Amino acid sequence: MLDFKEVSFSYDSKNFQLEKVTAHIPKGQVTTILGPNGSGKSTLLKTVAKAHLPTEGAVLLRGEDIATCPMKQFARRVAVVYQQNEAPSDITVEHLVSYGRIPYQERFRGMTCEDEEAVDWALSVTGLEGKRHHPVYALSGGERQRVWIALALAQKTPILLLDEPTTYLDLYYQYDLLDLIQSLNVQYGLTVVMVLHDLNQAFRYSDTVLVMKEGRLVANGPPERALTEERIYDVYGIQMTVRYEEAIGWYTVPLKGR
Amino acid sequence: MKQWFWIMSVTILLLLTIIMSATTGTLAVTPISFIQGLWSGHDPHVEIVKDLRLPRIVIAIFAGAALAVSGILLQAVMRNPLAEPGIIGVSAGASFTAVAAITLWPTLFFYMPFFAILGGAFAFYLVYRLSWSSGLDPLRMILIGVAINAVFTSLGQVLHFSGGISLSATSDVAMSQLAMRQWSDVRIIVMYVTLGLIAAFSLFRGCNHLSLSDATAHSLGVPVQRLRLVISAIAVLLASVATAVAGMFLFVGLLIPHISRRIVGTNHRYLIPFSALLGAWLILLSDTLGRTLIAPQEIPASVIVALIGGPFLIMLLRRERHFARF
Repeated sequence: MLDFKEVSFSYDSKNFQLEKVTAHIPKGQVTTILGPNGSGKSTLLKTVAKAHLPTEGAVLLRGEDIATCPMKQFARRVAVVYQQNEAPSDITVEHLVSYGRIPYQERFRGMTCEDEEAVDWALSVTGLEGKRHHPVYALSGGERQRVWIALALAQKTPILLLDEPTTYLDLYYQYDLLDLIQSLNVQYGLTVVMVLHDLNQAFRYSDTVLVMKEGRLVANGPPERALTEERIYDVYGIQMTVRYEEAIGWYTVPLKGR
Repeated sequence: MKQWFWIMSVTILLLLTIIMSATTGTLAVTPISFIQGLWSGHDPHVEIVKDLRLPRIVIAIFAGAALAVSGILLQAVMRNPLAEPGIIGVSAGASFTAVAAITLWPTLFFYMPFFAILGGAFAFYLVYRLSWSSGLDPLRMILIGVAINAVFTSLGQVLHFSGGISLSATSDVAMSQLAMRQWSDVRIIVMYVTLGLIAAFSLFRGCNHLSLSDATAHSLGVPVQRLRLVISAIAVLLASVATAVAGMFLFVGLLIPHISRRIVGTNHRYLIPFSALLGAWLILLSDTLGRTLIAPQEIPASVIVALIGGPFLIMLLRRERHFARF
């Protein structure tokens, strides 16, 4: 569905944040971008979001270079939830989520029935129906993050990008949010690309992982294949044990040593 | 909707203040005879009021609306609640170029708003350009704005004290003197400000969208930079024309948006019309108080606005909380 073709990116044409990244993001799967701080994870996500245009190479969406796609049209195909978001303090949940319909709105025209249905749907799948008239600032951190995901869902795109969606959330809300993302993927076939730090969460929720180191892609594939103990040591510089837990049915990655 | 209630309330307050302003002063007429005189056109007292007092009332209303909405637009564009045409130097730039132009070419008096717009736009460009460093840093922007404001204000003072041929006109622009304004001034401000206000209201959605972070707005297909440019141009037009015709007013573009947000919220659909009406009311009230408090002497409306605005602003800033990061 999404392809990186030798994508390089640099702010100053000297120090490259991304170097010739080539990868394929499969349709209908959850793909997680991993790597230490400064490895180019978020930069890679931003090239898919069209926040950065590649200095070299191209990002292809269904074979078409996204650089040539007008932004409003692109926003009907790819939705993004950034790590840090800003909104007026008194805005209600419903009003903020309705901004997800901006890509469909003509100038000087209000919301259509279709727009309202999309907002209702987004509020419903994120469990925010009961909070629609609440001001966003009155919600908990986890609920606010759901509001931003609802805004992205109201865009009705087949692809959802999330930049470190669990940052600032406590453990409960981290897993609550990742469960929601997984259910969106399973129930609605949404293609999800997200940046995460936690390897346990990456194992638990990803179909594919892209592992970045110093701007280069060093591994790409299912987590159990791409995240070996050797690779984790090579990328992060710490020794972790990767083991399959029969009792819970997935992998855990406890610390072995430094 | 409570917002419409407040818009209606401030409209009624403005209408009552217009009647009070028109009927109070050295030449007093009763509100009923004023309305009857306006209707019939035969009351000599009302005719005098119409020629001497009504122009300044209309100018006060349009200048107040223009400066308040200009503040709203600049704050939306810069996502900075301290952005205001007075503070960031737009008004000083407009005032200086208007004064310089009529000093150099007195015959081009009718084109003064054009010069004011050029000066206001130049000052805004300088502030925007010099404070941009991979994004707009709010503190840097305000400090640069204060510096630009100081430079243009000083240049204006140099012109004023060098005693050009249009000293009275320079004084009017630099010090907000609404007295002796004529219907020709009214035509200028009504024409430009009406256009500016219509354009501002038609962009209320765009102003709302700019309250999101640039990255989020961009990801939704909002043309962030183009929208900023258009909204800034309208803000500069409104502030510059108001300054050229009514003179310098500080605080209006800061005070009115802050009060308005507290009353009608941050949605620009209500914020723009409400602040336009409230700004109009504030300057009209200040002008009316200024010419009646120590009559026959007059205190400039800007002085009254600053006297009310200063303490009020301090009180508001102590309780500030408009934008939140989530």
